[in-house]
Amino acid sequence: MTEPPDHVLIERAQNGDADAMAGLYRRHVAAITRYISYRISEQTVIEDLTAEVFLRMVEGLPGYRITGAPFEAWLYRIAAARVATYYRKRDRYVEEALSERIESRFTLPEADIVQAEEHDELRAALRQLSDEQQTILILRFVERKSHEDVAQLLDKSHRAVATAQHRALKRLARLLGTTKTSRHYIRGKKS
Amino acid sequence: MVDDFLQDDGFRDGNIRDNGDCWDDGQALARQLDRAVPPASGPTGDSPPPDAGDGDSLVAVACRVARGPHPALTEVALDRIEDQLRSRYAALYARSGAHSGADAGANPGPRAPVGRRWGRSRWQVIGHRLRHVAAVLVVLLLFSGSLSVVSAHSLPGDDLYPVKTIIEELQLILVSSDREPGLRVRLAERRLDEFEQLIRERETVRPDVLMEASAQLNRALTLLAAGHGNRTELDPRIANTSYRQATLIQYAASLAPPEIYDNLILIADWNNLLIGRVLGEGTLDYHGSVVSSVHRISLSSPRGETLPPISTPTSTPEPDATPDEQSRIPALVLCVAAG
Repeated sequence: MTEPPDHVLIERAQNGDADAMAGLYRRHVAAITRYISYRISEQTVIEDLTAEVFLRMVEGLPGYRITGAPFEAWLYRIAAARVATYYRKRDRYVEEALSERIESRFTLPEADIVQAEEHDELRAALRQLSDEQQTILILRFVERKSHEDVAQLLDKSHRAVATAQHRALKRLARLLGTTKTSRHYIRGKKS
Repeated sequence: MVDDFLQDDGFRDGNIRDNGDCWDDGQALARQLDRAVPPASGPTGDSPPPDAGDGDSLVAVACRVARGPHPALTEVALDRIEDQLRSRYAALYARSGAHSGADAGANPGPRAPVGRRWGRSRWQVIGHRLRHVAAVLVVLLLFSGSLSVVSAHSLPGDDLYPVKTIIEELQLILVSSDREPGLRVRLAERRLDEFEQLIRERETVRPDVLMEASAQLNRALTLLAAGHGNRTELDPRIANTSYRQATLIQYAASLAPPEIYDNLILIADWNNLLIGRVLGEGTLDYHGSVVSSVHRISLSSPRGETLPPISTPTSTPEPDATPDEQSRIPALVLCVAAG
């Protein structure tokens, strides 16, 4: 049996169907969790922010208007705002958060520690990009959306998304020190 | 190298523009990336992590992003969040007075009737919208009220003058037939005030303002002839206004350029007809002297002649004027004729 599309669940949720609301949550929670986890490393914070995003969804559903735009675009916007708010508040508690993270690493196997550090490095580099650039990279390479889907989710032109993606990858390559080889994309030859 | 590539194409940090080259690069890179990290057709995030591709640094970075953390919340965490959501949802739904309740999570219950959203009845929705409409109307009324106050002091040619005339038109639409002649006389008096103010403050002669005053007086006389309004009250005011117009024409003629002078002569003729009409049709009996005096004034005023300052008539009878007060009108007319 095929799952009802988002707009059907939204209408049902707006009319008092709690299961429809829960269906929306279950459908999108994994993607939103991944999105947050690419920008925040603490597991407890990821869970808290994921919950916050969907609480905002519940509170905003009565006023949500079905316009044809993807429902998840709204959720990503909420998630981006929650992450930004988190970082604004967290700046005051950086030392505390860092010490908690280091302490939690002692319990991990060595391989996991290496991977966790790589992820931290990636998150730190991603954080140097703009919110929009981060979102584009996550949607395209983590969520594996097509460029067209990313453009639709961000309400941008395909051209703008392709350009922003290009810039974001170049900056990220520099930040991560991954600058071994490069193609000359205009002329189709390697430099 | 990426740095070389950036340098060759003029792409430097903070100096990248959305130009054609960048677009071409973006497109070409997108094709490369589609091969290295293809968009998933099914559920996202579960595709196998890509390799570093063909060694291109940007593709390698994209692959590294794709291989990043893919944490999933535990079932316990997911259930915990869902419980929170259902609880919040039920609270919101209950607050809005709808069916359902705290156990909405377990059993959502029957759906709200058609026409309801979050338990609000159709009448509640309509009432809610009416409140918005009322708020908008109040704002509009306040705005239009303040606009009318401000525009009341505007003069012909001012930005707000059209607002003033629109408000007057609305008053004419709303007023009863019996009160309309009085309102039109008042508007004619207002036009003369404006005409005089334009001359005194801006040294501008606007015959069209006098034309408008004459049109209002003419329309007032027509309504009076049709039996509307109080003839005894308005005839003296109309005669007095016409007299004042004749005085203003005389003064303006001394200042106006030739093309305007001719217009003033025409308005003076029309004004004479109005005076003749009010005396012929109405209750006043000074026909001959008024017409001849005003006619003589308008046609004999030499351009450039220095005339005495205008004395605004103060004898305009009030609505409750007595016959004694009305008798001052011929005296004023004769005074002009003597001048």
